[in-house]
Amino acid sequence: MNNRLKVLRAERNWSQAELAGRLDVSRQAVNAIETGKHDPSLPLAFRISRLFEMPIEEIFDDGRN
Amino acid sequence: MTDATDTAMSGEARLKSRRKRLIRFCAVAFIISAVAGLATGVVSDLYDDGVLPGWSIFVCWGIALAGFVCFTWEYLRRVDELDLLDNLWACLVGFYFYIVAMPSWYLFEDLGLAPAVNHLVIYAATFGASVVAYIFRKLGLR
Repeated sequence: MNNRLKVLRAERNWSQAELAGRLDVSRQAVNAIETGKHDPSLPLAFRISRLFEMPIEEIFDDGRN
Repeated sequence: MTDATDTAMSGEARLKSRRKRLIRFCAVAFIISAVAGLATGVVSDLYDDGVLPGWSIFVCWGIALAGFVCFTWEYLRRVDELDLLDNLWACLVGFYFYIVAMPSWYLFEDLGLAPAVNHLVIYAATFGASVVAYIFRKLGLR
């Protein structure tokens, strides 16, 4: 699944560690999501959505739109 | 989970604190396991010498098993979803290795093509397969 996490993070000048701490996950988890190696669970996707104050579908794209 | 103190911290500080808590937990679990291992050795020696009755071994085994379950449960509760997945994949690979390796060796033994099944070797190899799978996942080979 494609996502805009890296762009959104860069816009805020956050490191992967900063984002990981705000999401209460490891830095490896943030890296795996950004590189598309891991699709986050629904609870984590909601946390990401709330953190960036954006709807989930504006952050993640399953390629069907 | 984050509490009021955590929300006042930066993300990097929160991550650092989270990592420290996990390392502390693993260190405590390691120390307790080492002490439990030593205690088990002492108890089994005392049993061999006839000082302790047989049921004491079962009590020790029960305590060790309960400790193992509790620490594993707590560890899996503390790690994030990616590490949980890494652990689950490692366990699945180990399980598949076992259900293929053990009957295969048994078949070859039955046909006279291999020596008798050595369960200790299969146990070690299964554990090894799980560890290798976990390391592969940790290296980002998902």
